[in-house]
Amino acid sequence: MDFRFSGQEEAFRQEVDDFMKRELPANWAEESHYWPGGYGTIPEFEELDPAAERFRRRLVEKGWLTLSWPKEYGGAGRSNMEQAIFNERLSYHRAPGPGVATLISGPTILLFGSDEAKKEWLPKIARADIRFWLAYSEPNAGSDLAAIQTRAVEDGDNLVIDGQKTWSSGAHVSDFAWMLVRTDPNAPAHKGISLVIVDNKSEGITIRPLINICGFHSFNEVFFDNVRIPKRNIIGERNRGWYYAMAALDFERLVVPVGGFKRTFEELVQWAAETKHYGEALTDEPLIRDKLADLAIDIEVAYMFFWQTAWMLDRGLVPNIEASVLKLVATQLSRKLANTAVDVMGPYGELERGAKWAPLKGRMCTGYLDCISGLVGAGTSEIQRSIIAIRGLGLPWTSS
Amino acid sequence: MDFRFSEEEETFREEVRKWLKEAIPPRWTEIDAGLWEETEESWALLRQFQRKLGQKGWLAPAYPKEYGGSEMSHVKRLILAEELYYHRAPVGIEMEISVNWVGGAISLFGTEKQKKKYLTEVAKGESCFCLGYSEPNSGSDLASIQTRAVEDGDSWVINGQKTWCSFAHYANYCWLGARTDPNVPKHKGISMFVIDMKTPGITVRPLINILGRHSFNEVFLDDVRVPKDALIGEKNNGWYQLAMALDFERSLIGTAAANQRLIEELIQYVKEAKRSGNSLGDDPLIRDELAKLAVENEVLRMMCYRIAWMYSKELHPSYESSMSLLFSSELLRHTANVGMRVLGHYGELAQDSKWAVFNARGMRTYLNCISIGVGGGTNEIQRNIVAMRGLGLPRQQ
Repeated sequence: MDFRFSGQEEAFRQEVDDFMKRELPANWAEESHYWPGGYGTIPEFEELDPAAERFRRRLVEKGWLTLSWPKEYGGAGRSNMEQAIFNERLSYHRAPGPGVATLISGPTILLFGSDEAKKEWLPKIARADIRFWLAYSEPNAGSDLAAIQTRAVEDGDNLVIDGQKTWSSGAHVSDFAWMLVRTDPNAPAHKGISLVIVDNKSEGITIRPLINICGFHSFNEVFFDNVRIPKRNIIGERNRGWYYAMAALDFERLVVPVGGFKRTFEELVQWAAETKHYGEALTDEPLIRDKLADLAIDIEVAYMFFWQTAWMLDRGLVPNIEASVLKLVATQLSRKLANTAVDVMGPYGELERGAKWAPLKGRMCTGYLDCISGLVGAGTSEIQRSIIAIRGLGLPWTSS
Repeated sequence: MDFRFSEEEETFREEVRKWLKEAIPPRWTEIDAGLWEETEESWALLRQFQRKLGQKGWLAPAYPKEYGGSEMSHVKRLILAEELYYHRAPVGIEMEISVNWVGGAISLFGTEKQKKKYLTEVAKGESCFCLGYSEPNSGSDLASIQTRAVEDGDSWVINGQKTWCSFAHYANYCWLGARTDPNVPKHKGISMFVIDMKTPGITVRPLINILGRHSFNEVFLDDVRVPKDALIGEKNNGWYQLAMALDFERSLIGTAAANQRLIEELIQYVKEAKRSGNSLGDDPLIRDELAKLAVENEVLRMMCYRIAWMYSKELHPSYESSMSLLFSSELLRHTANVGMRVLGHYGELAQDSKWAVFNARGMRTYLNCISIGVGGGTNEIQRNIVAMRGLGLPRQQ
């Protein structure tokens, strides 16, 4: 057992850190809307920032956008630990870059895609030429995802898709849907689903905005009317989509911005140290110190789970329960961080970005609103606990 | 709406306090036996005190005068309960069982003869009931009880086993649920009985609890033959009667006063205790915790008052009792946990230690509070009742 990074890993961490400081605009982290553990305020959903785009191109040039992928598909062939080190620094600097395609779809295609599919999709993803959105939830299928009703019917070389998806984050600024469709309505719910990729430009797709609690356009509802896609866009085997989706969800649950928690927490501590109340710094207040110490412990816990999953991946183990634990711990931390911050800040914590007196550019106020999304997306906290109970503790499935 | 007591009620409170000063035996205070900590000596003191209460008509104050009560208003009954519990008079769950839970059910479902006998004995402090509800395979799913009662000529013959029976080794009666029809749905084949504990065939075995005391028992019934009129209410109507008795059980109105005493002791302690030269009461973290407790206890007090008020309007508290029992059990656990943290290592010392703080109440509460969230229906059961009866949510499958 060794809790230190290797010399090579330390050097890489430093290299990444220097790179971020050099390549990002000086005020980037301060100005970013980004809240760790939430996804209602991802800035790229609102508008494509040229600075973000420039930075992403630089990542592609370095081969860092898909660091742990094999070189033949546009990756850098680095370890998952290095990938984790990179992701940690990235979120610490609130830097843009990876997305659904690089973090979720790409790794799933690497595991289950045919050679053709790998050749077709992976290089484009690695070059950041295309963006994906997740087309999972439907009006009547959320926690019970296997209940999806969107149909895909074979017609010659094509599939014809009819149905509706919802809570589709970023669908309006992406190029392709990473989508679950029902291809066999007569099989048990889990056994009639396929995973497909759908071009957003296909005829018959209507995207409507759903404005979220932060006032951002991040969610959408997306309608599919007789949308035709080529059969080769089925990933892996037909009707095996549920199992691929489970792996994709595990990948999604590993996308935890531990560095973002650390950064935001440091800012909160600094703010409290610099803010006086009746002549004394807030950090002299025992109740506040107590809350801050509690958060520091939770952040340390999230880090431990985070490094553990990277370590597992490098040993060819698949973090499954561990992915659920990490997701649960991180999103609860997100909520606690926001709640503590607005509590510590008093009425100032209620001021929005743009208000003259808003501390830390209103970040905590945004976080208080945005942290809710993390507890629901990628499987609610209750779903994570069910997974831990069933797969981790070996408890029986509940019948209800 | 009026949150004050009337002048007459306040005078009554003074009267109770004055009386208690004289009536609580010093030896009782010395032994300081709390919940689930009875000894032979403490039990004798309890019974003695309760007979004295009975003579004043205060043991079962709400009972009709003909059964030994004093037809006291429910608000005064509340005041009496508050003072008894706050001053830690020799009364406890054993009194609640006999007077309010079983007595309450008998007064609703018993014949005139049964009421006259049992209610009068209870009101005078002469008789004491234990509960024969839980069985090794029936707790939260109480309707699944298997103890059988079969008619045989002029008798009922009872066979089976009960468990978690508090005070069964002291009580002279058992209020027992038994299956009288095994061929109907489980809720429809249960009847309620009053069993004399001296009846041949009853074996009481101790179960030593977390406090190291003998309070729980398991009770075995082998061919226990009781007369026909041991049946209370209608045959096979027992589940309904039991549910009513359980509502009474959950309608404790003295819990906030009992808890108030604990909180005040903690406050007293932090005012006096010093750590590194400073009073514990100056510690903001401790002040914060104690203030939280005080807020919660005020909420509980309101819940107790509401139940007393409902009785005074002849309303039957149902989900309201579950809410209050749930809240009070969680608050007692919260109080005990805060107490243990505030007291530090001193809180872990037993009563006989030289350094024990306020007679080890903290530790003893920490140990006895667990049972409160289980007996009378677990906290989960109370939430189910609130969900079904209070919120109108559907029954679970």
